[in-house]
Amino acid sequence: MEKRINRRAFIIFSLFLGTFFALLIRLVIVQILQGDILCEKAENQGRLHVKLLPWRGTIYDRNGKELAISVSADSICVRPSEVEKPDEASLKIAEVLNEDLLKVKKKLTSDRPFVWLKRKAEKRKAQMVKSISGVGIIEESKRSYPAGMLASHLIGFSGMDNCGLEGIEFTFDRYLRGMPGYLRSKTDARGRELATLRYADKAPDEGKGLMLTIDEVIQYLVERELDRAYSTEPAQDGSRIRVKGVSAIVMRTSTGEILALANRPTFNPANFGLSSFDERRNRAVTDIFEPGSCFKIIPAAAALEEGLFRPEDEIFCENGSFRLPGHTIHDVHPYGLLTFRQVLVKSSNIGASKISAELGEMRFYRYIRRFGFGEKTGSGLPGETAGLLRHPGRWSKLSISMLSFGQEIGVSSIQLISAFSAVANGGVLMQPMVVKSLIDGNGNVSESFSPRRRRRVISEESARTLTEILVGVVEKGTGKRARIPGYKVAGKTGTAQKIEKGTYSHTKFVSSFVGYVPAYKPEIAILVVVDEPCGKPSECYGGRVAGPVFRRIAVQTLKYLGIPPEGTETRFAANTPAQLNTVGAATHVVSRSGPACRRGMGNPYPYAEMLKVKDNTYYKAEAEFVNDCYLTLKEGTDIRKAEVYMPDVYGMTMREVLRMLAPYQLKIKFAGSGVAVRQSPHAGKKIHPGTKCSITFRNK
Amino acid sequence: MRPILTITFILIAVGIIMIYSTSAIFAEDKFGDQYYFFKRQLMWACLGIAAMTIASFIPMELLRTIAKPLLILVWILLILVFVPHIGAKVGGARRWLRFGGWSFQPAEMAKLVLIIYGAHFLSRKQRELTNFHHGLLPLVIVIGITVIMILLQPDLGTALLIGAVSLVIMFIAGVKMKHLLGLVSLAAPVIFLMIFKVSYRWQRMLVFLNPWKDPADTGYQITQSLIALGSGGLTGRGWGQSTQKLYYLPESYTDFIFSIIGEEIGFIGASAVLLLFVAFVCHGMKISKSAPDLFTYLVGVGITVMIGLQGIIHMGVVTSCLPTKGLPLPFVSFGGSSLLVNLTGAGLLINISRKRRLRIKQ
Repeated sequence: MEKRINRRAFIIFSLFLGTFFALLIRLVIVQILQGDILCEKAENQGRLHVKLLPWRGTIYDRNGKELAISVSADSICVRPSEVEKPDEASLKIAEVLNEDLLKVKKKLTSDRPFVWLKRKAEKRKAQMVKSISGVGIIEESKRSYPAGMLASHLIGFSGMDNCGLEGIEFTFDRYLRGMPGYLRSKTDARGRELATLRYADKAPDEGKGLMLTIDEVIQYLVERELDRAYSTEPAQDGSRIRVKGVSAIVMRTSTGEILALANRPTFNPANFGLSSFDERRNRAVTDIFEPGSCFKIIPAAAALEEGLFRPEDEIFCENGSFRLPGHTIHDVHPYGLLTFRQVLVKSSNIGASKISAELGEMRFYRYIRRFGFGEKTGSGLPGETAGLLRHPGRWSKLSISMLSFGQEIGVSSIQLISAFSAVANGGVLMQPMVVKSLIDGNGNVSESFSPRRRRRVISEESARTLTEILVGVVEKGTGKRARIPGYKVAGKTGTAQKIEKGTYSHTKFVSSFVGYVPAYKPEIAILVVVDEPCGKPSECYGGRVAGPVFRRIAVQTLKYLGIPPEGTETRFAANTPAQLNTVGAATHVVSRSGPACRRGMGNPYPYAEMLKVKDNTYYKAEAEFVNDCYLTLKEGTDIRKAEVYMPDVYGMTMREVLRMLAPYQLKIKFAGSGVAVRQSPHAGKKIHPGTKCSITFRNK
Repeated sequence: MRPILTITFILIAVGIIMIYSTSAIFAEDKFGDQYYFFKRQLMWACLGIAAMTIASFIPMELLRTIAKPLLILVWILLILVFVPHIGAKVGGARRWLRFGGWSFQPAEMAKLVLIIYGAHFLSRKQRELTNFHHGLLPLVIVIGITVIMILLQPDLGTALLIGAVSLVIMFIAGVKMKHLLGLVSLAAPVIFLMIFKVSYRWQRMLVFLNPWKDPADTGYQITQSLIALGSGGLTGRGWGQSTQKLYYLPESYTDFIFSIIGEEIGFIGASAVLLLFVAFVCHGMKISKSAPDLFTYLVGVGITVMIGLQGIIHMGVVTSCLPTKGLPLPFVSFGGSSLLVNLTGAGLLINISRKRRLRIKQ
């Protein structure tokens, strides 16, 4: 018995040892022989490969004010397979996100592994749905425009995936977007990163910031003026309806830097999806129009440069009707003999066509091209048009005449202002510039763009002569409404009939005014184009429609930039504290605190020197600015003889109007309530103490 | 110190260290305490060592007399598992009795008690063993009842283990081969049916043959286990450096602890653990061989077989030699009841070895 038991125990024991040996062999196979293959399999699982997205660069104005920034936003996503109670969850999500219940439910019950519920939602809302099973939050960056709709056409906007779609956001996307980084690591089976096993790691290169040439303050005041020009305020005769569009550009003449560019209608870049194509279009760059009389500076410049005319040479203007084969050219007012200068001042079409005839087709065409028409300016703004300019080979017999006063050619606003700028700049055409420099992550300039000279188009002498003529346009000619007391303004009006059904319309116009100031020491060029101004044809002239807008923009910009009036020697000390002083019986706020034009309200006294009055005589003061009008005061002038102009009170409250008008000692009559919408006398009219003045207010 | 005690302590130490390594992250995530499993295993080890000490001094005669009451106690506990509030249902199985923060698996206790009872029965009926009706049937019925109760939990692994250990004891005790083969041929269709009836068991059954066919689903655990072993290589990734324990390999601190040993300490560590089990079986057999009587002999062999077989199954499963059946590695895997019972068993082996010494002294 004992023996049998031991024999059986031995069998069991042997079996055990055999099995253990087999297991040992198995361990050798798995761990040693197959080790490499299995090791590779271990490496391959739980691989983490994450793209680290960079933050989009900030867009600044020239003074470092933020125009477009990236902010953190929570995107809400869901893994439908992890949702426990789809009904309950969708009810809550639909409520919080204010979305359609059925749509949300469809997303929650989708068979896809990952669904976006809402991209870039509000943080508060994201926190509210975070606790629902299966719902996750991914931090993304979102574009935000702190200045709101300011310069929206210029800045453009970027899409959901942070790529620029329009404007500077689009053309300078390669700087703004940065370079994604990556992270290569391992995760555990639940997808969490194992930081100790991270083997590659590269932080994203954050997007570069852009510093624009735009000045937020100038941009703001330009936009404010465009709003006014674009407003639907009915005129006295009730005929006023909304104009079709308005554009304005302010350019620094010496560098081509664009200080402001705005269009109406406009849109909100934060909500670009809600706007129409018409609103989003940067018409100052993308749209072409026939420039009309503004274009007369080209044949004039060419003729001066070629030595064909001197300013005082006489041209017969055919008494207003000039018959050409197949067409008769008319002037608005008939003229007989006009000097070369007067042709521009009075804007005679017949005179211009005679000047161009002297030039000849090829020469004229060459100058048109040299001034930058028929080619893109290289502003770097998307959708820029080259305009429409045919080669002389395809011109008709009439074309040369038509071109001389800006017909049969399509130009863009930016081309036109560049051409005027070239004249202002002593004949050198500059490339329009919108971006000054690239800003790195530390806020330092990493690369600056210098102004680019395109070419000399006319000699300095010709440019000077042309400027003199253009000053005459504003002082004595069609551009009187653009006059700015104290400054010499050079400019040209343009009123082009729009082409409707193949012929020139008699009711639809493009009215423009382009000019620069101060004329003999130019700083800024300003263009204002009004597409289809409202009212009777006689009210649609460029001088009448665009001139005052030009003036208002120019006055405020000059003030803001601290460009002193010509002929005065006053040098204002910077940052003198505001002081009160009396002028006669009135009180003036007198200050010189630099740029003071604030968003929302223009400081009526941004620029002034202390005035002192003794026995009705100023003895130490040159100029006092009050909004866009001012008193011309010279030392020794009798206060009663000082030339005083009516200020512009548009958009002011009653209190503001009273404060502003107080020094003028006018007899003021108010009507209505709200903000000032109409005034009499008009801004810029000469006034005296005791002048009757009526202001109409309306609730906005 | 007795070799069997040394082996046991080394295995427990390896176990506690590996339990901390494998469970720390899971415990931190789930309970906010990385030592959760470590501390519990440590407490059970203390409790188990106390039980081992008692077992090593208990007179064998006393063990014989309490064999029957112990069996009845186990049966009661196995019934209690099904009583709500006392028995706990975890993952669809009722295997645990819960009191306070402690839980206990009666099936683990049943393993040891059935060995004692079987040894007692077989040694008493030594002369009648050839007679199936008188010598074997009552024991077969007792085993059958126990196994069925465990199968009802359901815990197929433990049931099979008890069946196998019982067969080995009967075989060694001298039961006729004819009867044993009869029993096996009776049990085989039942087992086969049970496996076939529940489809997941059948899939589990077959997947070990080619786990790479479906590594994402049925072959997941076993392929992850192989990846763990393989990436350990000869010397391992180093203690605590396993990546497979990071949720890739589920139950890494219980049913697959051997894989992580292989991954962290390499072939050297894994084969050392394997050799410790070989040593345990060798010493267990040696101790049993010198037992003074058949009862003691069968108890010794039974315990040795129980621990050895469980080790073989665990290591066989994780190396994909056997169908995936979750069984803890004795002394090493996390599991209180298992550790307590195995240590008690080791205590009894020490008890037997002391008897041998006494005899040698005499």
